[in-house]
Amino acid sequence: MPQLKLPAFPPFPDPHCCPFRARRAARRGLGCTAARRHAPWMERGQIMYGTKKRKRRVSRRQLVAAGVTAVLAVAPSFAEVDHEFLFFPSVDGLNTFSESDPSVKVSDARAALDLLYSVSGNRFRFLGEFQWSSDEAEIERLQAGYRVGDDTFVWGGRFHAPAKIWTSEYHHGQYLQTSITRPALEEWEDDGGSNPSHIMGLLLESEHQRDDESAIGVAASAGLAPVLEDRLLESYEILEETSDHGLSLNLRVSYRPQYLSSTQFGILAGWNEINVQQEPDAAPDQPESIDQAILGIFADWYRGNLRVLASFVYFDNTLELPSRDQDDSYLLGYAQLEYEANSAITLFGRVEGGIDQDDSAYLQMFESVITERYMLGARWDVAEYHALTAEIADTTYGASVSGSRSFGEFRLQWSAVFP
Amino acid sequence: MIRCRGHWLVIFVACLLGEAAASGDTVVLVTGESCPLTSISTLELRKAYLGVAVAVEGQRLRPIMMRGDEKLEQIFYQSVVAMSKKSYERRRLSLTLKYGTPRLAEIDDVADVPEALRGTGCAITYLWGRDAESMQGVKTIKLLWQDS
Repeated sequence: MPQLKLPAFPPFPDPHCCPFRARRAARRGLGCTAARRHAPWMERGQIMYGTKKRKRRVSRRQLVAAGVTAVLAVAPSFAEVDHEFLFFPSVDGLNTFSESDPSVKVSDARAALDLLYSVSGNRFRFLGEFQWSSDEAEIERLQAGYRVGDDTFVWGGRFHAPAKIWTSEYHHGQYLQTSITRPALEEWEDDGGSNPSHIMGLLLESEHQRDDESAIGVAASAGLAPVLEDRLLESYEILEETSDHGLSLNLRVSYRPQYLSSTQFGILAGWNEINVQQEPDAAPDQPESIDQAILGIFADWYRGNLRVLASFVYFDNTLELPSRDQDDSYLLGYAQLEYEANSAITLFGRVEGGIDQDDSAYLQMFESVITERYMLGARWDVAEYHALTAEIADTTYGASVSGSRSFGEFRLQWSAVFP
Repeated sequence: MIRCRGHWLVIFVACLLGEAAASGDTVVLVTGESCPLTSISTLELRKAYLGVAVAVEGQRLRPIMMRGDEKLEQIFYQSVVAMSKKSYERRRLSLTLKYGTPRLAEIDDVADVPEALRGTGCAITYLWGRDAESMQGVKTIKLLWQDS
């Protein structure tokens, strides 16, 4: 059994279990203890997986959607239709440590299984992605597409925001991403991510091959943005009855010097209207809504055994307070270098940081946001479709209600894919 | 002692003959006889096996992968898609994960090739030249590799 040493928390019932949280917990069928926040370094994907107990519930609508997916999967195939199933299992172990703050000592383990199913006809395509882990069960993507040209698809449904290059490359397929962790800029909403990852609406994806064998790709979407609730972004769920969700627009334009190569460069842009669910005991200056404009660049560059994956995004937020508007801007970015030493071993490292992110009023509205991380790791492809990965990192939380903290983390992971 | 030397001599000669036979090996691209396709460029072929929709002479290609013969697979990775097996497999998985793109059909037994190529559209696959020569209903459209 993994050891779990946590800083002391007040026992239940406690004054921190505010009425709003209690109401929310009750609505989700959880006790207040389950809904209580843990230490910020416990957030899954940032430092540690495993605290999203309120996500352990699987709603009826999610079950319905999962059932539809399952029925489609087991339905007898018919002419000109291809079915695909992929399973991405992973098991993670984590240990955090800090010489200056002995209370930051956590060991934990987490298992996850990402299920991907697609069915393709001549022009029609359906894609569903469901993640089931030790702390959540959620439909991540559920989208239906129609081919309107040789290289153009129009999708409707729930999909991943295209203005995120890491997310667009790896989605939830842990085995395919070299590192264990994702950059904070690309973090999922329910893992503390500060900008939208899941959109409900329409998505257009197109790639045009040019005469010189280069290619221009476009991915553009319009849909419903997440809301900010209890210091987390909450994306629109499938078949959600009511919606306070604002508009989300996303754009990614990419250029591939060689159509068949993986190297690409491009720009990212977006506009999100993030409405804030008001807490009964909210501070008087809590914003009602946030207009977020983003503009960024990315590069995914391959040369020989080297690869660099980097993205830098500028955020310009307008926090609509009851009495005035507050402007807020910052930049977040990361660069990950990978070196494929041989067919089995890949060494990698990542630097994450930004400008003015520590002082951002918007980021301070979140439970915890990583503002700096220096990470090194190694991946060993032990067998076909199986990998063992180790990471060590020096991580800093900056713009956080819990204050700034810096500590080390060590992770181990087994990941695989079963085609 | 003399008998033992004789055995080694027989084995040596047999190895030489085997090498001589193998030196003429070829790998060819084949399709069904009903497919009007008569040729295909190396680039178009690479695109088809990298998941790009390719139509040649008005026919949509359906690439099929041959499994079960390690040497044939190595020649495919080297001569057709020009990437390592690891990179190629990751790319195939990535396309499915990103867009739901169906992965290519696969055949484990060379005896199943004629049946697989007989379907609608232009299915293509790669074979040892000696296997292609002996198959009914299959035509060769490109030489992919030749042992030097």
